[in-house]
Amino acid sequence: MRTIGNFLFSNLIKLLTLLTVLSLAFVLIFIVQEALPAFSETSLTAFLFGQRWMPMDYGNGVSFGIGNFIAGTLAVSALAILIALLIGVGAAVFLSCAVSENARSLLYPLIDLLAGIPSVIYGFIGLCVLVKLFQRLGIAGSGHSVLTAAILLAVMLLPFLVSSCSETMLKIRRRYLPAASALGISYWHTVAHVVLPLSARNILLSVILATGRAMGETMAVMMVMGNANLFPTLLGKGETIASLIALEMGTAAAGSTHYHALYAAGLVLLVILLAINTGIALLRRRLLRQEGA
Amino acid sequence: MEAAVTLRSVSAFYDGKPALEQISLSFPRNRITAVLGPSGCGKSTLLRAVNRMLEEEPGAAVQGQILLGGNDVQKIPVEELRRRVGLVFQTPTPFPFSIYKNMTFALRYYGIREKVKLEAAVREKLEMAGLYNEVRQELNKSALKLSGGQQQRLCIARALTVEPEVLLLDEPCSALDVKSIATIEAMLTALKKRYTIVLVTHNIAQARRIADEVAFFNDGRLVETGEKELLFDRPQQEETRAFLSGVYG
Repeated sequence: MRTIGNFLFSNLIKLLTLLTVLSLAFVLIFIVQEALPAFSETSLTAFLFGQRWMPMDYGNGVSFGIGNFIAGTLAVSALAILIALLIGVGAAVFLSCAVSENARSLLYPLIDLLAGIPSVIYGFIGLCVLVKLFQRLGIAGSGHSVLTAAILLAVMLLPFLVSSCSETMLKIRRRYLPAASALGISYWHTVAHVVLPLSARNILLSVILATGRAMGETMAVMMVMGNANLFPTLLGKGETIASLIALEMGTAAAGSTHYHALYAAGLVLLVILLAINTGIALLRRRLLRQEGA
Repeated sequence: MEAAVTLRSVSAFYDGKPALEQISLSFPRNRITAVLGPSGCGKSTLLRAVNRMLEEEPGAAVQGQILLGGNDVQKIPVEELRRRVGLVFQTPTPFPFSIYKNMTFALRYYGIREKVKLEAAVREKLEMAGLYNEVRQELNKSALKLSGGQQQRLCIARALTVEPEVLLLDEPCSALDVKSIATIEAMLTALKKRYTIVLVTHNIAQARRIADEVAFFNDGRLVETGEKELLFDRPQQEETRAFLSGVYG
């Protein structure tokens, strides 16, 4: 009886694993298959580096260049991570080293709560608060800009960054503070010279993991970035690949070059993310090996 | 005999519960005093009271007076106190840096930057801890790659870098193999020429091997204290006799 149970269970597990792998493979195959026809009308170079995106012919011919969207995606992600990193590491040090146990147990759930807010709500707040603010201050025209989107995206990345970094820092602090303290070394010197350097690895890993989230984030960014096919500048409008797909997929006629080009854009995003994730995996392995060393 | 550290009616509490009761005791200079007793009798608490780490713990309180070289430790700035009184923990706690950086970390903090001075100090203290010959070729290796016994000797050497007067050791050998224990015991015996050593242990044999003075603790009380031979050969208290003969502990 038990043998049959084991047999069924192990095969069920295998089947489920197979299903997961297959569905991932099908997604990839589907995207590639839908993307390829686009390149009958445009070359890969023109597609990747072209700056003119004109999927409908209004007299000047069509062209499919997603250069600006790629740049927009990278720019807004990088900027958001930079902002989130500065604030996040500071907040993590504060949470792990500056507040009491009680305050920490009160603040942690709040941060986790931030992570649970749907992205459209962030986008809405960004639209009502950030965009309005930028507009009033008159620093970015209508208020929609790459910077606006980056700030909003940074806020969305913060909960993950803060909670993962502060947990590492707390562990390191608890482990090494007594040793430093017994040498008469002051608390904040220990935080700056032991806790921070030792967390660097983990901070780096969190940052790279956040990159994936930043590049794929669609809704909130779309709501505040202005969505204009422009090369991204700090206070200018811009558009990301994710926004492009979300905005145009509904109106692109199935089977048209426009439709295939949107899939191709999705493929580009996927490839960039895969490249970054592979990079992480390699870096992580190297870091872990160093740690063991 | 001159006392390096004197405790006068020291009591300690965790959340109001007494961990040490009215301890009066002194640690004579350039001797090894073994603080002996079963686990949980307040031995570690005593050490942490001396370098004032105990009072920083949430819920902990200390009463009474502790003197370092005749001065009340409450009147000595914490940083200076801890520079003068080194503490080595039960489990080795090297920083996950190189051996060299572990040894220079505190020195740099105290403002010593000249390479020559740093290198001389690293060598001298590692030699004292009997570790120099084992690691001289690989001072830049991570301290975490050392064996447990080497890590503990590194921690003792690190504690010595700031030139303390008193070295407090909290069960430094409890997690180590026989060979490392022998090395550390030999080293401590050599170190007492320069330092006052207080060794917390629940290991009767260890106290018998290297201590000059023994203070026997049980249940937060100092049961009796005296020179090693006297205490081991002619214990005055029934509790001490029972512990030494292995009835408990």
